[in-house]
Parts: sequence; structure tokens; C-alpha cells
Amino acid sequence: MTESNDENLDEPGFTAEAFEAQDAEFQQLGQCLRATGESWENSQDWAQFYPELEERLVATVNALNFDLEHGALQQHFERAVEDREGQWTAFTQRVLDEANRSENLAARQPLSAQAVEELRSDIESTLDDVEPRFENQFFRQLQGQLGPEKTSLWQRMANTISQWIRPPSWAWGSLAVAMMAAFVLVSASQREPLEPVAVTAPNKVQVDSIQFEGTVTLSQSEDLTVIWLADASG
Amino acid sequence: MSERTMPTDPAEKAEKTRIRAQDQIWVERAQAGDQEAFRHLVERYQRRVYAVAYGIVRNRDDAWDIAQEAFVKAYRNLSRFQGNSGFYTWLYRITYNLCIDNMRARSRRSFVEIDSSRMLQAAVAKEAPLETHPAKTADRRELAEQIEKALNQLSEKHRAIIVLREIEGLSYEEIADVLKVSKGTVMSRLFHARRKLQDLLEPYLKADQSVLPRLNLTTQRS
Repeated sequence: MTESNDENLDEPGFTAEAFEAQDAEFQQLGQCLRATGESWENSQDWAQFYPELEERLVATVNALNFDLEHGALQQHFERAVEDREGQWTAFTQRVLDEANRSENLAARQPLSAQAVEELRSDIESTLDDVEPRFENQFFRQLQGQLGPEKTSLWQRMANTISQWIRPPSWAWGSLAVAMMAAFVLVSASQREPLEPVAVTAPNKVQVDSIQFEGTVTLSQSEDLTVIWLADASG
Repeated sequence: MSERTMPTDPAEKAEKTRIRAQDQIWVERAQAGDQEAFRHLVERYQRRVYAVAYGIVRNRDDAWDIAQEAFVKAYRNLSRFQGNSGFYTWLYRITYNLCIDNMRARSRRSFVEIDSSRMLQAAVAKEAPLETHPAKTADRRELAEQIEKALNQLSEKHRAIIVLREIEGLSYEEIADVLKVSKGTVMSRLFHARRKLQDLLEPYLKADQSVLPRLNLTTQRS
């Protein structure tokens, strides 16, 4: 959504100086400008070039070691007066002018600043009151609206392949049962002396194929497992 | 939420960069479907989103619903987030738009709930020391009410810009990104919002201005 300039939001009267009267950060920029002998009029399109202007002024502040805070200006002035034993210089006059200017600016905005502080206090108080809801409820409530965790097609394929390659442990047991069943089935259907099947190791049976239709009953004792197969054809 | 001063502290800048990088990692994981990563983002920004919403709409229940809806919208549109700005400025933009929609819907219903008056008065009462004269407490309460009224008389766009700048401490550039306007428009809108607030409260400015800071500067010219 693109904002439009409606609702008289951009009434006339907005100038760099007027904005400086309201805005502490912009006021500091203005003080830096004047400290270097410049003015807003010389800084064309100051709003558009604000980042470049800010960088330049930051460099200026650092170079001058110029602390622009209101309280610091006062201290600076008092020290300057002490050092010079009450003698005025153009420099001390400039510091006094800046200190008085910042006081005048503060005088013009007490209630709007106070209103902002009340708003801040109200918001913080509200946050404190709803904090338990954030701890216990917010994400849980949100999760209900987010739906199931999304996975990409690639992830689903990868999950399926990994299941084939690494079957769960119970699948090995099932395979062993099936092998045993095949052994019994082969011997029952042929009714011939059992051909020995390839035994690769004790307690292991090698089976080539398994086919069965019917029911399987498994009986286990201490060291013996018997698998009963009931052919569906009777 | 402290008042911004110039120049920006290098440590503050470094911290912002670190947070933004971490957000980007979580966003990328969430874009891949990792809801746990999205949970990290929610837990980081849920209070701030709620604070912005409440500051604009001035109603707790609406602010809660807006905060929920903002995160749902963010989750569903994560694929559109390209990382050109920080995740939180994108989230604030979603929140701001939802707040504007909410206020417009409320004005159509011609019903404005303001439940913050009691809270504001409670905050004032909490701060008043026990030994304060009742008349002074009453003055403070009346002032709090007038401030509350003035804040609610601001348009939602004026209130939003004050919340984003004065409460959340966003830079002009970040606010411009949230509101999708130029930086000059941000400054202009902020200027008019503050002036409107001052004009609404001007009748309550005490004549003696005794609460204002004064510099006791005396000089002797040689």
C-alpha cells in the first residue's frame, strides 16, 4: 500500500528551522551546521540529502569534539567563564547563544513531549499487563492459524527415499518372520525332504522370493520361534 | 525506546546488523517451511508489534488481534519478502496497514473504543506520591485526561508516525520504508503531528512555565 498525501498531512509551514524547533536530533544537526558557519538555506534539498548531510555533520562534530547536549552546553559555558575570569570572548558568546537557543526550543515543546511520555508510559503499562498472555498464549493461538508445517515437494521426496533406504527397526523383524515363513511354506507345499537352503551364518536364512496367501501364527518360547502358516486355499 | 541522539552509537549499529543477519537466517528457514524458525521471529517481535498496534488503535483487544493477524500475514507472504529491508520494518509495514484498516472499519461503525483512559489515570495515580496535595493530584489527572484526549484526536497516520518515531525509535529512513513514503514526507508528517499535538494541548500550558528547565546563566562583561 502506497501512502498518499491526504488528510492535510502536508500543510504549509514545514521548514527546516520549524522542524528543528521540534526535533532534538534535527536540532543537533542545526547546531552543527551553524557551528561550521553554514545554514539550512545553503544545504539544498536537506531532506532529500539527509544521510549525506548527517554523515558530514557527524564528522564535523567528531572533529570539533563538540558536545551539543543541553546540559553539557551549560557546563561548557560555566567552565569557559571561569577560565576567562568573566571575560567575554566571541566564543563564549556563541556558546551562550546556543545554550539559550536550546532552552527556548525546549520551552516551546513541553506538552507535546509530555504527551509522548504519557503515551510511552501507557504502552509500557499495557505491555506489562498482557505479558502473561504473550508467555502462554500468543504463539499457540497463532499456530492454530498458521496451519500444518509446510514442506516442499523436494523435502517430501527426500523423506520418502530416506524411509526406503533406512527402514525402521521393526521392518527387520518382519523380514525375518517372512523368511521363516517362506522356509516353512516351501517345505509344506513340496512334501519332500527339505532341500537345505543356503546358510550364510548360524541362525541366518537366505531366501530368494516369498509369496503367501493365508494367515500367519507366531509362537515363541525361550529359544524357539515357530511360525504357523495356514494357506487360504485350504 | 530511548530518545535518539546523534551520532548513532557504533555499538548500536553493530547490534542492529547482527540482529538483521540473524533474522535473515530465520526467515530463510521459515521460507523453507520450518515453523520453529518462524517461532523465533514471533517471540522476538510480538511485543513490539503489539506496542505499535496499541499505540495506533488505542484498544487492547484490537491490538492483540492485529498483532496476531500481522504474523499470520507475514507467514503466508514470506515468499514475497526479499530481504531488501529488515524483517522488522516489513513486519511493521504489515502491522501499520492492518491498523489503518482497523481504524477505518471502526469509523464506519461510528464506534470508537478507548479503554486506555483508565490505564493512563492509573499510571498518573501510581506516580503521585502519597503526600501530594489532592489539588495537585487532580491537576495531574486532568492533564493526563487532556493528553489522552489529544492523542486520540490525532489521525491514525499522525499517531502512527509518533509511535514509530518517538516510541519505537525508528530512523526517518526506516519509517519511510515502513510507510512507503519519502524521507521528506516522514519529516513533514512528523512535524505536523507534533504541532497538532502541541496545538491541542496549548490551552493547558501553564502561564509561569515553572516546569520548564532554565539555564541560570549570568554574565559579566569585562
